[in-house]
Amino acid sequence: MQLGDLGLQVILPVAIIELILMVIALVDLSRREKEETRGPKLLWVFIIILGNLLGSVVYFTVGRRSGS
Amino acid sequence: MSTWLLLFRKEMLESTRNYKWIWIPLVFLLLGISNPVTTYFMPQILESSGVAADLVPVPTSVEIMAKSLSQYGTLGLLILALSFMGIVAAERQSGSAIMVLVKPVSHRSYILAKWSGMTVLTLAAVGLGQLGTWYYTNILFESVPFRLVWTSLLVYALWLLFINTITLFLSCLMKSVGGIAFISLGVAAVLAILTQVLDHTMKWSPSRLTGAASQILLSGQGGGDMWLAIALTIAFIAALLAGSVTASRRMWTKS
Repeated sequence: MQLGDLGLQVILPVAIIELILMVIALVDLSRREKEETRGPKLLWVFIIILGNLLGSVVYFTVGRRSGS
Repeated sequence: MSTWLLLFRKEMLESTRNYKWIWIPLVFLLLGISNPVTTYFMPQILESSGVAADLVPVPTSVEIMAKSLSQYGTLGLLILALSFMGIVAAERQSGSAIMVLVKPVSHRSYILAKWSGMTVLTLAAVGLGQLGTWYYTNILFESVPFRLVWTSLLVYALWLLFINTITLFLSCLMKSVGGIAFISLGVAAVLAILTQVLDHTMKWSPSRLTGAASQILLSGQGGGDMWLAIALTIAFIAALLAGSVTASRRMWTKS
């Protein structure tokens, strides 16, 4: 599929927002102790990075134990 | 009043600290812009999969915006319910609710501060999402008058606030956070189905607001029953808030 100039401009903000969400999720994860996440921290790193938007959303909604 | 303000600011601070103020608006923004963007690329997607692009009609700008609104009713509602399910229940379990309520703080200010926090965050999120949809629709398709954008948004947001209030009420009543989210979403689904099936007897249903919001976009008018549904939804929200205060008081004396 060929993307034109406008196509790239349209897609870029979407990619940037997804990247921001991923970074915030990883920052939050790195600041938490082992007991403050549901399941191992390493598993969440994989879910957040490989799961794109869905991975970060799942982490924010059900991944954190306290204060969520 | 001043205790309410204090608790409200504490609530805002907490949602900032656990990044709710960043991730919920951003996810709603993505939900909002995903529909105009995919519609824009639809001819290319169809072409690459071998379907003639002119077989599928291009939706109008207002149709695209109406479809974006319905995204908030499915994925958006799921996100809101999951992130607010523990708003009181988790605080009670961790003991921080007791730390607040042992001071001379009324249950009413406590619940109202919680509710205002949810409301401000939800309105900011859907507002940002709707602005994103509007911006993209204007750039990629024809422009939509702003009057339709904000009126439809307010009507739709009232439905989300109604479900939010149910989540808050259940959070005061129940202990299991998963159950709270499940029942809130269940109520939303059952109401939506009942309203569709019993079209004539459910003119007052809060779930009508979703249809009225798209009607505003498509025809400029929300329909005659819209104000009835709006008035009743506000009444339901007030009743649920009163119920939450009572439930919070009862749970307090019990534990």
